[in-house]
Amino acid sequence: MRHSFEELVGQELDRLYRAAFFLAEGVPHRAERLVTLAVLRGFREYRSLHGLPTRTAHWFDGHLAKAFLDGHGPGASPGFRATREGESSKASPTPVGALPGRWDDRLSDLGHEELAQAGAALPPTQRVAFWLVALERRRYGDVAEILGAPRESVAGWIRDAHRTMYRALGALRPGRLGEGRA
Amino acid sequence: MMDCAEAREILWPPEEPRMVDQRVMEAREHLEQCEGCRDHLSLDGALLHAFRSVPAVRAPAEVRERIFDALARERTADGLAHFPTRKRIAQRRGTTATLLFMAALLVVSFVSLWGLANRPLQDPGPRGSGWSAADGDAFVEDFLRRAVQEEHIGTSDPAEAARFLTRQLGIPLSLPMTLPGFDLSGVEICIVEGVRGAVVMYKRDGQVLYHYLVPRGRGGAQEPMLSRATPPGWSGQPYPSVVIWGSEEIQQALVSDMPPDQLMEMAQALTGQG
Repeated sequence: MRHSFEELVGQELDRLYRAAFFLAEGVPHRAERLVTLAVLRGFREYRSLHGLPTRTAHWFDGHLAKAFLDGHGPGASPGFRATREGESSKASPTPVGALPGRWDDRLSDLGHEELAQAGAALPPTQRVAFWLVALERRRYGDVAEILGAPRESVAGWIRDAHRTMYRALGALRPGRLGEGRA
Repeated sequence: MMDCAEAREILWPPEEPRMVDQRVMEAREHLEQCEGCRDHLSLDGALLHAFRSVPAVRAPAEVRERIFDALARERTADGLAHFPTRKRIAQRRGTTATLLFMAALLVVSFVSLWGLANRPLQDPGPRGSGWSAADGDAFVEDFLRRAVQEEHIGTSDPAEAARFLTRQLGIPLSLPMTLPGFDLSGVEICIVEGVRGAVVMYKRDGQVLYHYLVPRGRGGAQEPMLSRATPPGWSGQPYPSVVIWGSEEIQQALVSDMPPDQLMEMAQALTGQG
């Protein structure tokens, strides 16, 4: 069945809005602005290509990521933030430590506002990488393609982002996360 | 020995099954020896469990509407600048009486369109002997239509109506949507043989005129022609006039209870405008 662009947007909109809500630190009007920008960017490309790509979700995610990173100036560009594995570990030397399974229960009633608040602790590129890899479960290669960055950089961003997110969630829930940790 | 980045990439996402080949075995071997990678995957597992319990957020209806409006403006940015803006009718939904009347006429119109067209708007497919596994697209069509979450707009503003049409049908339309002696009253979505179309509604002193637009993927241009047949089972009330024509992309029809020759003039006026 041939879909119109609007129909595909209708299918993707909730997922894109959730992602934008996270990227925009839980500010609704900024999330809406991001999704609008991503949809319009996608439409302009669709019009110039006279067709839609086969991996629609991946394609829309790319436009959302670029809309978000463009809004953070050249400093947020992946090319400026690409770091190698060893280099990025210097930025976050504090070990998080092994995670017992019981931590799951402490995080089990997270709200999307808390998630977005914690995401605000991430630099823009890490935030995008974290959204795509940790939340959307995309492969590193796909994320590297979207961000136009080496896979090694994606791996470094993800490792740092995981640690930062954990700490940020801990800060939002003092006395809950980390208690009983070995 | 494989490095951390490569091992994590090969094993990502860890919750999904994968074919075990030489690279996966090497990545697992790396994992056994690397505390950093084990910590990373353990942390990811804890966070993933948490993320999956976060209630899903849906884009609010007004946000959806604004985004589709922006998209429609993008589509029609060049084509509608010359239309005068007229006062918009205050409400999206008309009065109950008006809607009931419109609904009744819509039913009549569908019957007439299906029954009178010399050829079907679209091949009805293999449904004569019941629904098959291949017929799910009819339901998908309705699902997608509902995903847009807007089925009717009451407006006298041609530009707004055009944006609604473009957004709903996904085809850039350059219809002026003005008819001599009639006022534009709104646009409504319709489904004809599984194809989503739209009805542009006009009014004049209590008389209504419906202009149907149904996208079609094939067929050549067709000049306006008056349908003269009567659907089976029709009796009693005056039968509405129907004029059908089409371009390569859109099947169109005018339906009204006005005299056939006047309706034909209207169709010719629309064809000349479009």
